[in-house]
Amino acid sequence: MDPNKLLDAIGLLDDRHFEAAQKPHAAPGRRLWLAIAAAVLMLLLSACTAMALSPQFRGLVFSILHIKTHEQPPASNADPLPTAPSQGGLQEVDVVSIDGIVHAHYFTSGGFVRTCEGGFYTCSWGGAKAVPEDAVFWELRTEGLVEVETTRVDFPLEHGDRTFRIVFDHAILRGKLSIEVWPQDMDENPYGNGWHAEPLGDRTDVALLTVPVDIGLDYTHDFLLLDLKTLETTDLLEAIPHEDLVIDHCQFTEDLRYALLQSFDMEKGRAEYWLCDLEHGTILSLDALTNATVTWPYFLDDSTIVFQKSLEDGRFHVVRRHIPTGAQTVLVENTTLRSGNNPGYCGIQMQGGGGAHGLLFLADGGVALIDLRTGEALHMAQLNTGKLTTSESPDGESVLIAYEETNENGELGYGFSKLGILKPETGVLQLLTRELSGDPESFLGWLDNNTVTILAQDAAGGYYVYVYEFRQPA
Amino acid sequence: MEDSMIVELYWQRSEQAIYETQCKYDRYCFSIASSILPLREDAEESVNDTYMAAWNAIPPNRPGILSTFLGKLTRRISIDRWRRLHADKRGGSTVPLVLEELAACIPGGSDPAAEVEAKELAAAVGRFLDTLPCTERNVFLMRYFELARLQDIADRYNMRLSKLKSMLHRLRKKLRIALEKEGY
Repeated sequence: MDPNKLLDAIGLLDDRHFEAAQKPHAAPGRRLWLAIAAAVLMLLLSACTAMALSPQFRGLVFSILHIKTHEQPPASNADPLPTAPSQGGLQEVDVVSIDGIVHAHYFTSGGFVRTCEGGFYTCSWGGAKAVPEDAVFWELRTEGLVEVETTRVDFPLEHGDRTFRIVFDHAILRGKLSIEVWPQDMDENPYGNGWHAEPLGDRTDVALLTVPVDIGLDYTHDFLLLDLKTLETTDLLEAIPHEDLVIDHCQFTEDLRYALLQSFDMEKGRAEYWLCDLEHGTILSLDALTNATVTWPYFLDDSTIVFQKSLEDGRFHVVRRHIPTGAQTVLVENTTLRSGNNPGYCGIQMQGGGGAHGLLFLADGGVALIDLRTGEALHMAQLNTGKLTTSESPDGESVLIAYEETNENGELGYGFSKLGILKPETGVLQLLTRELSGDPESFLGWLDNNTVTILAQDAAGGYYVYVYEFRQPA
Repeated sequence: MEDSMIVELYWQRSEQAIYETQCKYDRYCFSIASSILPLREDAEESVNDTYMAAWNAIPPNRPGILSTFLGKLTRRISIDRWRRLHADKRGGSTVPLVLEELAACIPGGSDPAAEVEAKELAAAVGRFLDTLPCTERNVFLMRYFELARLQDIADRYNMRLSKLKSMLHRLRKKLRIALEKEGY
């Protein structure tokens, strides 16, 4: 047999081998932290080791409140939907109450829809390079959908030896800044070597701009604070000596006192992380600071980071560190090996971008939710870990629990057969069973601590937005 | 950005999908491509081709694991490019070494390659991987899927080069036996 055949066959290996084993750039070299800016990014550690909790399990009892009536989203109904508007905007199709516990709102749109924290963003779709003029943010209030004042930023930014056209829309939704960035001119910035804008914590007056800087064949990034009124920018890392680093990503505390830089070391083939004190202009390697290999650090709050620490013997810890004092607490440590973990995950899922909870997959097959602030864990033995997907509400008060179904090819995106909101404080999960229409569903989102959204799309490209408001028992 | 959100952007035909993909996976794809293609510009072209291939493939595909999906695309595109360039004898790639190593896994006797679909062979290799401990499976995939350099793998798993070579030797031997048992 020609070894080329074997080489090609290895390229056709089933995805489960990469899921069950550590992924090619798994710890200590994974670099998923690049995209941590997304509020609900799930960091999946697929290490083949079981987890042990340092703290004791909480005495609280986990209980599931099953909602008896099954939900039928309108796309699965036989009745024809109202004609969708040709331009951007949402049209409410129906509102139903499910057992008096869940109030579901169904919307459709003929235009472009994004769900975002606190609301929606709609516009007509003018093509890949066009920036439509009818973009609008929406909030869902008791009186219905309300259009929110939407501001467009559009200005040339000269940075380094390049000029970028900065174009994005922003609005204040439920007190927080939402930003929708428009695609950049890919002819000038091939394959997205461009800028990006995102909110900085809960601040509504500024945005964080990430701008690429060419350095020969590679590029690094600068991080600018953009004043949304004056459009003036400030280099946030000006006082930090970082010229030797090729920076991929940076996180900042909301008070702009600390920053976490991520650089990529080509020789080592892995990401490295650096803690910066912006007030004093200092930068320290997290590896050196902890005498271990650190991965996936993020700010739990303005003075605390959480990260995974890989030890030389192959064990790893999830650690919380108070930055000013250097005090560290081991929240989770792995102990025994676990095998046969396909298709379920094995390890811990942590919410990026400041998430307060992590999801632990235990050696006994169970799953637990750990509060990274307190170290307390809630054992949730009844959940099906094979289908489980979670997302934390922006302020960490609630956790969305969903079962994501796969299609006949084993690909995700078929839909969410169960949807619920867990209140970690009480240990109660309200769980709704859904009858799927077969339309691809994605984009689980949050409107507030009790309201979640699903974005679906039918075969014709029409969008549906489903909103579920869970009424908490008195 | 969460992978499912990136995939959704592809489905929405938003070029932002390529930007988000690049932000998250550029260096991962580049590390695979550069293991196969020693010249940086060749590797960069392969990574760029990967984004275009992903753009063309999603939709209709909706990959469950985006990293693996992109890794496979990068690998396939880079190996194809290497094969095209191979006639020019541009050296320095890991591919000839890996091919030489993999040749040792192939049982002697009749050559059933013509009758065997690549997917069936992949399934057999997959069944072999199922029998391996975690570290050995990762080392195998890093060497023969990513085509990573031996030193890089040794660094990643904090083991001496001699130990790694020994492990790979045993793995190839095991794979040969496994494939023999499956009739290859």
